[in-house]
Amino acid sequence: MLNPILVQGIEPGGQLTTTTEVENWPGDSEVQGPDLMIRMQDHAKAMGCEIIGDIITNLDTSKRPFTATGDSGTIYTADAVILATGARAKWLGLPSEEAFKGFGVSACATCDGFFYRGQEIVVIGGGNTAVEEALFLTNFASKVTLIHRRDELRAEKILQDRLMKNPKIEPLWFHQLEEVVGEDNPKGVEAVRVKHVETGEITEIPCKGVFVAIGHAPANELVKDVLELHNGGYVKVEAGSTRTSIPGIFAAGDLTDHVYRQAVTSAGMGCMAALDAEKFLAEHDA
Amino acid sequence: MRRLIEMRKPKGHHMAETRHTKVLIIGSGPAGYTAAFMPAVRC
Ligand SMILES: Cc1cc2nc3c(=O)[nH]c(=O)nc-3n(C[C@H](O)[C@H](O)[C@H](O)COP(=O)(O)OP(=O)(O)OC[C@H]3O[C@@H](n4cnc5c(N)ncnc54)[C@H](O)[C@@H]3O)c2cc1C
Repeated sequence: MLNPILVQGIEPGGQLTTTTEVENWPGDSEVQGPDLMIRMQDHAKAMGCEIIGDIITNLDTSKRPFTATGDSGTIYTADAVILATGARAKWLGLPSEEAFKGFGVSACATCDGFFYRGQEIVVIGGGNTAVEEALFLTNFASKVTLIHRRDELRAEKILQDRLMKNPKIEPLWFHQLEEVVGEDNPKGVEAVRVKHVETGEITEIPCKGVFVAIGHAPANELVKDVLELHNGGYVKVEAGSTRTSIPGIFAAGDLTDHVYRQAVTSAGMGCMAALDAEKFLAEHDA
Repeated sequence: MRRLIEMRKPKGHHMAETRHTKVLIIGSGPAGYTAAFMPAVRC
């Protein structure tokens, strides 16, 4: 038996515990994010995994067995480590943004776009993420306003061209989000107030959805100085595997993936990491 | 949601406990939990 130990971290169940309906999990046409994660946890336990409520504060990868230090003071030594620490969407930090998260404010167009069929929405940002999200959201929304602080985008030229040609997208230059405006009963977004960065003039834009698309940050703190990273801090794995630059350390999910960032792709990579770790142990500890 | 949180290890034990495992999984999202049941399934 491999008898894995899983350390949960500060957010047991991960990002899906912060959302409501998940509509693209195979076998469930609709499932609540927290319920899905409880089922996954129960499944892991039933298969003999020990799940521990602790946070890893340090990981020594210089020699095998690897040594992880828990916030509790517990030291975990392991012949192989699977890193699945995920990623976080970057937020603007406005109180009104926080208040309407999950009720009209989102950082994931693929996850929440279909809620806005035929409605007007805004996207905040000017990089690849923002332009990709804006383009994707035109599949559902009647109009997408892209709000950006400058008068030019940081996104790749090809994406910019597609954005400019799309009749459903209207860029609003030199503006930044000041406030999300909404109702409490039922809770939902009604508009955003945006400020012109030079004149300070405030404009209100009616909308039902606000997509904050200012990037993602992988949770790479434990390994950022020891593992090879790419694309702004995502852990680099060998193509078609979960092997990192240190033998015996594997990485899966949003920590390695700046492209797909979905529950099902993360779970798929988790499966790959387990099989890769098992193979590694069989080869090295036989 | 409460059921997702395992008994939290209290901070600052007087005597640090050491645990050894063949595979340590760090993180409890879809990637971590799926990795957690695969080694058990295949052994
Ligand atoms: C609001 C929202 C809605 C979404 N909706 C959907 C959807 O409908 N469909 C879909 O497919 N995807 C959706 N996603 C994306 C999906 O949630 C992620 O792709 C997926 O959760 C990534 O899984 P993961 O296991 O890689 O990491 P995460 O879910 O990010 O989990 C990371 C885990 O690592 C732990 N951790 C971090 N640091 C440490 C540490 N130092 N020590 C121990 N543990 C640590 C955390 O506690 C957490 O448990 C959504 C995301 C958000 C934010």
